[in-house]
Amino acid sequence: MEDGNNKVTKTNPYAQYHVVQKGDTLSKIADEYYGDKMLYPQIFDANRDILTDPDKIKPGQRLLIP
Amino acid sequence: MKLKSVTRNLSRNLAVGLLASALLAAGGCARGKDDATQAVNSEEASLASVRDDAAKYMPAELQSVESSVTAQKESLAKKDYKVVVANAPAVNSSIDSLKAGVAAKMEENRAAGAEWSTYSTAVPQMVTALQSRIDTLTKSKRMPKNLDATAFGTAKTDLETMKTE
Repeated sequence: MEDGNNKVTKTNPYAQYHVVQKGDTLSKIADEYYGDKMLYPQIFDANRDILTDPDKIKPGQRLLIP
Repeated sequence: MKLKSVTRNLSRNLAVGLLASALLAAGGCARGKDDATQAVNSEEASLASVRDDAAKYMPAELQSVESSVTAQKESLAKKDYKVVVANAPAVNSSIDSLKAGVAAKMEENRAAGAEWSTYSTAVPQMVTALQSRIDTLTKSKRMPKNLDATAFGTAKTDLETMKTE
């Protein structure tokens, strides 16, 4: 398995991405992909290389959806 | 006197003729043996060049060709030179077919190896991506809009199958 822990990384060609649109929040994105807004930390954790605060995302950012 | 001379000449001519015929026959026989021996040697050498690969990739076909060459060697041993020479084109053709078949199998094998090499890298990455998503969705209180519980169950089963195969 990749990294030996089932965590998908940005080097994985099968990883899914979401390009942030105006008005997006991590909660909204989590709801779209997972059906549960409360799972936004999953997305935040997977994108710590480009995000420092889960409340601060910018349009055009390409977020890994683990 | 004249009659005796004519008779003697005829006898001598007949003897010379018979000797010439015998020599020609012997020459033809020797050539037949050489041709047959050369044919069998060529068949054996040609088969030897493909035997190891054929044993690996086309054992049944190899056995058939081996039988043909063995039959040729037996004919040669029995001095059936004409049979050996007559059968040589067909035996050579079967050896050529075996060589072509083995070459095709080897190419097929090489391509399959390359394909496997690709899959051996891609499949684990795909499994990781799917497993990651399934792990997250398992924690979700409900399914996202484009996924229902049945499809999610199928995806989980399919993933487990991929992991075990």
